[in-house]
Amino acid sequence: MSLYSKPQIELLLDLINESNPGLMELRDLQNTSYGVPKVRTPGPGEIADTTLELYAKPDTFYIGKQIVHYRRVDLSRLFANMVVLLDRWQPGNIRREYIVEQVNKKYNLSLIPDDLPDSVWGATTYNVTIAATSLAYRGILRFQYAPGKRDLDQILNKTVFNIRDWDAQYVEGKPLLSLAGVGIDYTRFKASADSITNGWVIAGTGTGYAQISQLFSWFGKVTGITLDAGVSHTQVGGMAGLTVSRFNLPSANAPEGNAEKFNRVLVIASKPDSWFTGKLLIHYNW
Amino acid sequence: MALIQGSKVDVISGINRDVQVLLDPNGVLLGIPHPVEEDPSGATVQARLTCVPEYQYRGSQVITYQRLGFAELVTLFPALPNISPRETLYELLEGLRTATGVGLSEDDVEDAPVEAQGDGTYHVLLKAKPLSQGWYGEGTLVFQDLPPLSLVITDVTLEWN
Repeated sequence: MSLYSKPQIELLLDLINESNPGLMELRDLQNTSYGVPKVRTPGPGEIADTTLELYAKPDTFYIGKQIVHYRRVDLSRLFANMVVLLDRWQPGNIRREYIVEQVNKKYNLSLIPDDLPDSVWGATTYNVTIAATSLAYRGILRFQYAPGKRDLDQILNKTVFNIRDWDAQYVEGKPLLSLAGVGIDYTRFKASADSITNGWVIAGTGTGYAQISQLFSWFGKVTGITLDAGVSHTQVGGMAGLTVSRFNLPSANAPEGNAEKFNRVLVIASKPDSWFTGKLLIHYNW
Repeated sequence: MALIQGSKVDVISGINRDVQVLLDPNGVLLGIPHPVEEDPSGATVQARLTCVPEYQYRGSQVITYQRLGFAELVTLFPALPNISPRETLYELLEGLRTATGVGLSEDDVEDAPVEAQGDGTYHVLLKAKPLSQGWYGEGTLVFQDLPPLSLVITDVTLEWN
């Protein structure tokens, strides 16, 4: 139906010229105000079913008015014996803007919202009469809701994301431990790693201290960075006061974990006043 | 960030985290990124996110996000990464990913030779491809070989029983 896919003013021009060949050009219509279209009965051999008064706009090279007869597109005939299905993920509360958007996209038409009455429709079959004021269309549009997928733009409530930015996790002058020792395999210390209670806050005494110290010692041997569970996390090298979280990999809560080589990870995240930024990852296989 | 999972997954994960949704990276395609004029550095890009036909959602959306700079990355390592050296960057990518958690693909970087410096360190140029979804710019990565075996095996006496 590419014939009807033009913007509505161009479609109107085509329809006027269809019944009045060569009468008007686009610039004529652009310099014209329209009256209200009126129904007329076509004479023998005619197809023009509409009368429209055209008035010259002020400050143009045109004066006066002209009455034209032309054919409006009859949607009852265009969609004869069929119901237009509106693909929609959520039933009800269907507004004319949505109907117009869907019908135009699906059938390549150029309806505008004002062609339909301003109403809200539910999830059954409706026969909606095209507004009498529509310049290019008339008749009845028969449509029905059909369940469909949800559109991506209905899910994302924003389109600008600050998601890949060092600033979000890196503070100038503080080491980014997220990049240190990520590949170290702590499996030989898995008994120690797994005995640390999930959610334990690192402290210099009590259960867990010896185990975490063993892991930190290994980290230090490989990377050269000394970590101390007995010193506050606000002092360089200190880790006391930070929380240890354990995740089975893969985990949406630990997307930085290496799930291809390891099945468990301990994550120790920095705090704003820590000497480092990012997260220390302790990978092992259980 | 989920750098280890590659640029696309990291972008999708970031979106999920930011707007509290659960988009499946396998359900959407991330199109070619186009730098925006307002950011001459090339960091900020626009790309189209499109649902695959089989996915539970449909349609597409143009999103704006930042790529990460290699110039910054190479300065952020708190210690020289330990990576088993290879002849070229492409051969080194898996090791880099395992050792540092930075997942790069051949779509992200130009290949480059790995150069031994003679002091136990190695240099390799990280130069982003223009159409990389997650990276821009360039920087020289300095790394060292894996730790010696003597670090792991401290007891050298074998007892055959």
